[in-house]
Amino acid sequence: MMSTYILFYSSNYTAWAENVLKDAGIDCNAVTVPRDISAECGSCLKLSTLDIAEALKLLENKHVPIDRVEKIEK
Amino acid sequence: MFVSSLEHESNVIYFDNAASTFPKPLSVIEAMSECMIGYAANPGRSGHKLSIKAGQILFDTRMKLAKYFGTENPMRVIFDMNATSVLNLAIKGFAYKGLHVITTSLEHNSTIRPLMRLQDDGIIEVDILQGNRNGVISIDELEDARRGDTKLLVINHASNVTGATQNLLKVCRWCRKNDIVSIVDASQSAGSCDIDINKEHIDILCLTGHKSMLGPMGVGAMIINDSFDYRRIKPLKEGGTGSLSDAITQPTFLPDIFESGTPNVPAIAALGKAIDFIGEHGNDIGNKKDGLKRYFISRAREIKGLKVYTTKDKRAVVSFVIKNIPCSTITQILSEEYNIMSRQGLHCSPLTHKRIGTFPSGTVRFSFSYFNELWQVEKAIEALKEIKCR
Repeated sequence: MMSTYILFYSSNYTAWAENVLKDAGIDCNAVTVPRDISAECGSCLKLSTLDIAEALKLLENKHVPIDRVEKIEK
Repeated sequence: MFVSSLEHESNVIYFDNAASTFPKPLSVIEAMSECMIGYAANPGRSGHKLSIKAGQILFDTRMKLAKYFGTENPMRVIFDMNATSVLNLAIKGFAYKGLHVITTSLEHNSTIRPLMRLQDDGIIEVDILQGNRNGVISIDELEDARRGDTKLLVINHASNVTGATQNLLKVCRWCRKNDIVSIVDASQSAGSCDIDINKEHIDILCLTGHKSMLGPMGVGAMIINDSFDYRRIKPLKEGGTGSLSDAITQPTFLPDIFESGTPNVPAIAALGKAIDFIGEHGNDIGNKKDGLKRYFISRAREIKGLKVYTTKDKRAVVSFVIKNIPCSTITQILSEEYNIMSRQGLHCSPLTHKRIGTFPSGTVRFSFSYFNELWQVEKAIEALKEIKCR
């Protein structure tokens, strides 16, 4: 099953993004960064949907910077 | 309402709240133990559930502080140990060779000592404004002290000796108009009155969690205005942040640039609950504390030879001396014989005592909290009367 991961430069931003998206009713969870997409030791956001345009728009509106988005089979 | 470690000494009267508030709201204590028992993992360093939970709690308190002090961006809230640590960060991180700094006679040593260190090292020059008889400065004084190289004002919002309170709105607005950065020490005022960094044009607000914020010791915060370029402050420490771990240089983004090392998550969790408590009780806290101070002042007139040093500002701090009785004698008798905890001496504010004429002997200080009661003030008055008559 394909999942979408949003990566951040710091877990401080993961927590902020999770807060913003959950407040908007978007299903997401902070999880361990999958080793096959990054060597970072912290957390990232996993979204249950592949269509993340709305999520990215919300984060942009709140000025939450992201590193990148990855879609992987997990 | 609260759990006290001194419950077995129900007579204890604690009037040293300007040093650290005691006791704390029950919710604050519970939040600390919940963290220590349930999720005291290292936030931001791992991806497991407990680390993520700790990171969320950290964020919650960051967000609450941001909102409480009038900014929308939680990443502009920087955690550190206490007010001293964030004041050192703000002052030393901003300072550069040739900088002229204006400060006041109401400063605590947490601001004046870093400034004097920088001046002694030949990096900055400092002018200390004396203010009126209470140490409150005016715009005229600021104008007289301003030079071409004046680019920083360091100002204590409220005196920890007398409660004298500076007019932040006027002063920080003047700073903005003159391209001068304002660093505000809100150690005594944060939590006891509304402070909005945007409305009051404050560039950098520094505070501690364990005084009027009603949180535990071990956490302080620096709040940076959105309009201030944080890169003008150099971090004083570098190290692990849990971010950009592949890089051997410090991250350059907020808050990580200033937050190396494991944060005090239990204290930060508890501070979050303390902010909730303050929000729930609103003006009741300030009004009650002010009422206790006013009552003390009115009753203190009954004691011949007792001189009070305070102002009409709504700060629950009052200093006093009793003629011919050393301050240390008064506080020792109060503690040993009456179970009343107070503080004598110079209160880490020698400049203030020089300004009000109580240097070097100092004063006795009573500082009240929301958890003090009128009967406690009455008992203190009776105790002082007895001490006076010995």
